[in-house]
Amino acid sequence: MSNPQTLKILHAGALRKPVVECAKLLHEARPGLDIQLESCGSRACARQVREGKVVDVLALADPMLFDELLGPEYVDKYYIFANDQIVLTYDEFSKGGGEIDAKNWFDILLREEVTFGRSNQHLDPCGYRTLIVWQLAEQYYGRPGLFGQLDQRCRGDLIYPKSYDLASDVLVGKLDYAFEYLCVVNQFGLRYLTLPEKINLSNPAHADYYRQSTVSLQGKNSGEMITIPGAPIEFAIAIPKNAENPALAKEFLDLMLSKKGQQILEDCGLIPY
Amino acid sequence: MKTVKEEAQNPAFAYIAGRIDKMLVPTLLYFLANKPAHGYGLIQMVNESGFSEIEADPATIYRNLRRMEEDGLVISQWETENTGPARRAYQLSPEGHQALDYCVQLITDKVIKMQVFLEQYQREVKEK
Repeated sequence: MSNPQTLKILHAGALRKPVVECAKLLHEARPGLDIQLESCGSRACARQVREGKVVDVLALADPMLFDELLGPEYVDKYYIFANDQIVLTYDEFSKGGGEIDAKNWFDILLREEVTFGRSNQHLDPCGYRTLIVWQLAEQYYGRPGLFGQLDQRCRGDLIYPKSYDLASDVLVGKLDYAFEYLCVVNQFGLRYLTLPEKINLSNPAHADYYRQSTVSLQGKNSGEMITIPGAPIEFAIAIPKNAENPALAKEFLDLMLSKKGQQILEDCGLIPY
Repeated sequence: MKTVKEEAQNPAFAYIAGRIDKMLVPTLLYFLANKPAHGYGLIQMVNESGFSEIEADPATIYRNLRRMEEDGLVISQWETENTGPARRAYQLSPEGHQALDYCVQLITDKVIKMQVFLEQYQREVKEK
C-alpha cells in the first residue's frame, strides 16, 4: 500500500543535483512529504522499471530510452527538458593536465602513465555516447585506429556503472581523466576540456554528422543486441503509468519544467528547454 | 504606426537594435512567424539558413528564446496533446510580430546605407 505522502523518484546519476534542488523546493512547500531519491545509470533505471520497480517520477539522460525500453507499456508520455555535452574532465594533478588541449587530448590519454575512464554503455548513456565521441574523433582528427586505441586502454575497472562516479574518482585522484557530462563536471567543480562541437554531441545542428557513428548495445530482451546512432545529448522526464502518487509526481514534474526549474537546471550546468 | 526611434524606447526593441548586426533575433522571429517551433528545430533552421552571424549553439539559442519570452515577444508551452516525446514549443506573440517588423525596418535602413556605400565606392574609387 502506498503512502500518499511519499514521492519516489528514480533518476540518472547526472541529474542528481537538479533533482535534489527541485526536491528541496517541493519539500519546502509540503513539509510532511517523504521524497525518496534513487539514482543509477539511465539504462539501468529503465530496466529496473521494466522489471517491476514502481516509482512516481523517472528522469533519464536519454529520451530514446523511453521509446526503446519503456513505451508504451510503462510510459506513454515524456518531456524532453534539457541539453548537455560530453567533455573530458580532469583535475590539477592529472598527468598531462597542464598541456592538454582540443588538438592533443587523445595523445595524452594514450600515454602509458595516464589513466582515463568512461561509463558502461549497457548501463549508462554517457558510456555509449563516449564510444560515439571516440568514433567521431577518429574521423574528425583524421586518425585511423584512434577508437580502437582508446578502447584498448579503457577496460575493466576503468569502465564504471554510472558517469557520476567517474567525476568523484577524478576528484579523489583515482583517475586522471574521464569522459563526462558537463553538468556533472560543474556539480563537482572539476576542470574540463571542451571537445569540438562536431564530436561532443551538443548541437542539433550537427545531428546528421553524429548519426554517422553507431554503437551496439544489449536490447530489451536477453541476448538481443540493438544499434544506437549518435545523437545530440538530451534529458527527459516522465511519470510512469504505474506511479502510485501521480498527483504528487505531476507537482514535481511541473516544478522541473517551470521557470524556477529552468533556473535550477541552468545553475547545475545544463541547458534547459 | 510608431517610428524606428519610438520603437527603440521599448527595452525589448532596444535590445534587438543593439544586436541587429548579429541577426540572431531577427532570424528566430522570422522562423517563428512562419510557424511555431521548438528550440531543437530552431537551432537546425538557424544554422542551415546562414542568416545569423553567431553560431547557433544550444546555449545561445535557448538563452535568447528565454529572453524573448521574458520580453513578451514569444510564448512557450509544452506540447501535451499527443503521447510520446513532448518539447517546449515557441510561437510568436503580437509583440513578436511587431518586433519582426522593427527588425525589417532596421535591416532595410542598413541595406540602403550599404548600397549607397557600394555605389560611392564604385564611382569614386574603383572607376576613378
